[in-house]
Amino acid sequence: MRLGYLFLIVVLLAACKPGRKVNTSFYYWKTVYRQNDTADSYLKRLNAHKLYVRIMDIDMADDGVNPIPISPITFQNKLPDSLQIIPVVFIVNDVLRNITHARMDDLSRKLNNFVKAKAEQAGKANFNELQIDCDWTQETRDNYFYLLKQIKRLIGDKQLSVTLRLHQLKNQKTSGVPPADKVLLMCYNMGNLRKYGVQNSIIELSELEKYTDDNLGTYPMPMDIGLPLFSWVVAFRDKQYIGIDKRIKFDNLNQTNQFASKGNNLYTAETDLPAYGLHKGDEVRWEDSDIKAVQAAAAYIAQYLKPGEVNIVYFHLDGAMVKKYKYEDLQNTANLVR
Amino acid sequence: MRICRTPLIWCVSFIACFGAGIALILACGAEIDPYDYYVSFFHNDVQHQKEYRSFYYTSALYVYDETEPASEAEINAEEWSAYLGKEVSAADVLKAMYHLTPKADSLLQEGYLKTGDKLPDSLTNNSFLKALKRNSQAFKYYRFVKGAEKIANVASDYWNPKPIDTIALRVAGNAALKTALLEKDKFIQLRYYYQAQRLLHYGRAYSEALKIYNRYLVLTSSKSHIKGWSLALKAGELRHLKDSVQSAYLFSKVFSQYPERRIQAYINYKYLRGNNAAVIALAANNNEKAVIYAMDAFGNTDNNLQPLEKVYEIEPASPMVGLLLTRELNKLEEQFLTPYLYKKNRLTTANQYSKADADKDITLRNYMNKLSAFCKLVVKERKYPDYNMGALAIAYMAWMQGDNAGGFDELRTLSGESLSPAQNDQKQIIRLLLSAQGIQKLNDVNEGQLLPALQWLDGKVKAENKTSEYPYHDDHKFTNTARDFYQQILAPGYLRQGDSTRAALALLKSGSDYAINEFWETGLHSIQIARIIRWKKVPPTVPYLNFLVNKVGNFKLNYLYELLGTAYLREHQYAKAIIALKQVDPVELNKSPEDYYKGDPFIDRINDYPKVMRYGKTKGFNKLQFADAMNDLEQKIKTDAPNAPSYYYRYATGLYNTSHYGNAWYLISYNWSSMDFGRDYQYSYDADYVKTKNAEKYYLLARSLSSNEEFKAKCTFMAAKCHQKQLVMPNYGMDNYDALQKNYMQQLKGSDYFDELKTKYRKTAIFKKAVGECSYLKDYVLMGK
Repeated sequence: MRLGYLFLIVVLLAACKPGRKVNTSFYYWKTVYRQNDTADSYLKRLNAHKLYVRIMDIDMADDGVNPIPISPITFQNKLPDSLQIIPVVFIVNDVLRNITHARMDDLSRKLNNFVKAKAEQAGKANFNELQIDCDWTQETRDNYFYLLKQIKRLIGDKQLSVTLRLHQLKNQKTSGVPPADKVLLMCYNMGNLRKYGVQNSIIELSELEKYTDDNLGTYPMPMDIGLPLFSWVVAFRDKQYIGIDKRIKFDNLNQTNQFASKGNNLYTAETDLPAYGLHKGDEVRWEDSDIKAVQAAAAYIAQYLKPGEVNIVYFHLDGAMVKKYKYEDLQNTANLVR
Repeated sequence: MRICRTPLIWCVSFIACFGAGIALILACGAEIDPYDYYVSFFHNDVQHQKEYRSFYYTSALYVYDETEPASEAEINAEEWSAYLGKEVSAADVLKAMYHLTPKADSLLQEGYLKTGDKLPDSLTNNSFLKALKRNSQAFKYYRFVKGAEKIANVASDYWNPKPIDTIALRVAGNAALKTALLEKDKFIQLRYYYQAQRLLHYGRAYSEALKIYNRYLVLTSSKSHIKGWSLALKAGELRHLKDSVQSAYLFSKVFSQYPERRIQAYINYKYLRGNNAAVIALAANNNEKAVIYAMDAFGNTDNNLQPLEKVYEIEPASPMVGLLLTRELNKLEEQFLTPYLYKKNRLTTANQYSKADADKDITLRNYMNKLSAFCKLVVKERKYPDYNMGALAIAYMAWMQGDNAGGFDELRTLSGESLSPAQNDQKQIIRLLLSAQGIQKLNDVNEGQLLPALQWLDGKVKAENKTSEYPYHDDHKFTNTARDFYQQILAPGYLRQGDSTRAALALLKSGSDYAINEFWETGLHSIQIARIIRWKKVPPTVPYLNFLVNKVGNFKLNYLYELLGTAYLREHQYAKAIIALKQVDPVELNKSPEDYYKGDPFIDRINDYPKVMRYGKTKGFNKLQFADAMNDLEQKIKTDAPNAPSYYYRYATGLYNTSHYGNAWYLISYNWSSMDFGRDYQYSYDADYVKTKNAEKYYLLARSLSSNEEFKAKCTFMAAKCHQKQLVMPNYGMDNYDALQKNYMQQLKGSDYFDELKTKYRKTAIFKKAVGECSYLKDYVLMGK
């Protein structure tokens, strides 16, 4: 019955809006690529033809002058023939603070060669799109845009896409519009991670609404959408943020000899837990990407998106993480955007 | 709207400028020297535990020294040399194994090792390579290792996208294993096994690599260090195979037994952050447990007696006891002694900031009591071979807490003990500290008593600085001790009893830049500088004073007379300033500042900014010219009474311009900082430099002697400017900064002088001009409308 209503809503929405072609895809954000049956089944069931593969981070070397790749990916398996690779390179914003044009020219060449070699290692002689991910700021904007132009010059006909954070969407005057072919709006990590409390910093519609609205419809470039499929634990000591602890799983929080629930999504360490780097009394906040919140975000954004083709890219393809979500739910999320 | 705009713009500019000033100061702070960032008198190398110097205390580095205490290459070379016989030198092995030039390496591999050709010219006489000709197994092994280098020793190039060739590494590892199984020579066989494990390990075949260790390497009875290196590989393999507890335990064994891999093992151990109790449970004996407790304690910057007590309890003879004890003392120096001294000695510590924390002070005093009790146990039980460390520590902590009697009592217990030279030195330092602390007031008698110890310290410093080679960053322990003693102990002692001359000399002995840059140029009066000049010319005969003065020889008379002249300028003794400054070479006198920055101090302005340095093609004043001009004005005031008002006005303007806000501050100050703006009194000449009080006085005097309304209005406005400078601007970061700042801003706009200008001199041209140019006055006038 419920599905029936949903279908009806989708049909009605489709009747009101110009149709969109929506492709579903995933980020692969690990340092070793291995084929995984669970992940493969999601790609297949969702008819995904692209995989956004993190190739490397780029950060400044200890010398403070030379940018270097950090934890580049290695491929234990080649990507299936059915999947195109979209290489993604994350550039740490600090790299762009004090860097000369000459060094950025050099960086763009090295980046391009490195990405091409990695794509080949993935079994892909070519690729159609390169994505650059960077949390650029007003201070680094000019350098970043210069670097993007150099990269675009080198990749020629390939599309250059860049990630767009919500604050960059909202503050277009200071952030500028990157010189790229399209952007991918990251609809996650939107709340205040470091603030103590019960909020969910990964995804919360009320936070999303603060950043978006007409900005979406008027953004001067095609836009893809990034949605979260991940969870983590945020740790606090004396109500002060101490970090994200990826070693703690949700099941660990229910072990009463280790944690006591404080209600909502907060838990207190009952004892010293050196394996997690926690002291007795430390508090942790469980945050995840609830499918309802993900769908609400998708539906909210859809009303502002321009007509045309759009890619929904989930972050990220992790067998253990993704299997918490039903195929149908992910499919329906795409339908909400159509 | 117009009413609000000017103050608003002014406020924004003002806050922006001073905010930027603060930000710059914060941002420009120098990085600390990780080996010299707190006051330390207890030398961390007093036990000469060079094998463990990486674990001396510093909170500024991950490890104190990243150099492994032994060289793996040298150890391996020695083993090869011993194996091949006397005629093979370890140096030749080292060269052939580790230090070949790329060209020689290529020639060797393509010729001698591949085809049996003769050795390259540069290696013809290499005894190791020659010996290989006589030992076919060794030759084959060397050839194998050289061949494997291509895949195992890949040069680090971040931008090379090619991943490690794990397949080739595994093939090579298996080949090494195959050869090892057939090899009869045990020395060579052990190395093939090691290569097999290593290559498989690098090839990420961790289980296979581990099997080689467990099946073959562990069974060999060799004492070769190869076994340690393979144990380190095994520890890494277990980490990859998720057995973190066993892995951590094995790394602790490597740490303890193989100094060439000590830091590597420590980093891995810390990375594992495993279940420490489970790691301890694996320890085979108390020595291993002691090492694990110590490794857990290294890197901890909090005071922590527990690991020290634990190590002593289970293995009292462990070298870790002294190492951990010294670490705890150094932590106390950083966390207790340094803040205590900095707080106490503000005048001699270059304003180094250390937040006072009363609660922490009590906690640390309690901690010292506990640590002293532990040290007493060490001394009493004598289970730790170097138990005298306990007595030295007790005496030092007694000094830190001001317990001189206790400190001397403890030192007396050492009189019959056999101390190492370094411990004897440490004892001398503690005795000097206790002696200095015991002096209520320094005088000829007790100064004479201090002299031998100070001469001893001088000798140590000289000896230390004679060494031309500097193996470590921190090899100037006595130099730093002397610096801290003079700067933190002796100079503040003299200052407390009001003897700035001796304080200045003590600071000079400290060798600290601060002595010259700050105290000598800010804290001395003419009488003191004149005395120092006399002592430079005729050194005092009193031995102590003679000793204290000996570094004044480093100063040239030019510098000292310039200093003296400046002091006279600050004291308004212009005639004496002329005499002093005439002793200075004119070239030197004109050197600073450059002509471009020299101002005409008799220019008067409504606004201080933008500064007008000079009018037309006139030249700025140097100190002698200024002294001449001011002296001349003083004479004219006396001899030309009718024109006294204008002389007083000019005299006041001269004084005003030597302030922070004027165009010729360099005449009385050696430094200018935006932080001087509106600050509180700090130096003796701040009445002129910061507060412009004397300028105000003479402007008022000029006004009182004149009947000209325009002139009187001008004097009043200039006095208002001076008065503004006497307000103290609140420091950003004060608890109630916002309220204080608001009050300060209000005070800037309100002044009795403004009131006078508005009521008495409203019709004067200068009033109208001032209202047009000075935003404060304008605000005041507009507010009153």
